[in-house]
Amino acid sequence: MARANPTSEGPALTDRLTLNVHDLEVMVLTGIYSEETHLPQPLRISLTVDLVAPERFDPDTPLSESKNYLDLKHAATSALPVGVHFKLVEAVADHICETLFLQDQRVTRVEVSIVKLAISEAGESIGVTLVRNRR
Amino acid sequence: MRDALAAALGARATLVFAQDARAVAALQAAPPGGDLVLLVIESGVSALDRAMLVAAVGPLAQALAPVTRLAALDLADNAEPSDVVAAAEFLAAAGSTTGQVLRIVPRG
Repeated sequence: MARANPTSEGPALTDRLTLNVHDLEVMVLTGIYSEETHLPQPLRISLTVDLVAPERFDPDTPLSESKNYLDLKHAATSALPVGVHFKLVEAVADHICETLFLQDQRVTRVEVSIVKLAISEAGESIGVTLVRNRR
Repeated sequence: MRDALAAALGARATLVFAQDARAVAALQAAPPGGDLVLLVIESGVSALDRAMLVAAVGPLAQALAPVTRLAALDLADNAEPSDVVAAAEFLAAAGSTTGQVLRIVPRG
């Protein structure tokens, strides 16, 4: 595995751990459809989350050195408050990002992709991708 | 209700009354010691902040373990103060419990 060598010339290489939870289907109150009907619409949500990586993962490295994938799933499901209408799916994405940054200081970058399933006519994927970096 | 909680728990728990999601950042920046940190999410907290606070309890409890337990009370409007105190006392006594959120709703 490549590791940063502080004595070498050139840019420092930063190791990272990336967790992926993709293709969650979640019903969310969002957009004009929900505003007019008060009904949630289906979104397909995918998360790619970068964390600060420990120096090394050994066979006996404890669970605490990584992050529970379910935290990511919860951020995109149960952590979306029931009954709150998000005008834009971008706001759904930002809420997910904020939830993950807030709960774990090891999270450095969150990428959220949201596909609006209800507007697909022939299987195409239409939606947004939001990337937020910890500041 | 705050005074009742403080009186009931005494030194058994550090009480944190969350007005918004920034309460988590404050806990991370200066994690209190002791056996139990009890996060009280009051009824006036916005739905968005409430959702983020509740979502943070599990991961934050993991970060504080094993030295300190973390639990939360999620209060609905008009929750009975005696029910809130009873739930807090349960969590203070449940020495193997951490990362849990108890939702307290009005009776009936």
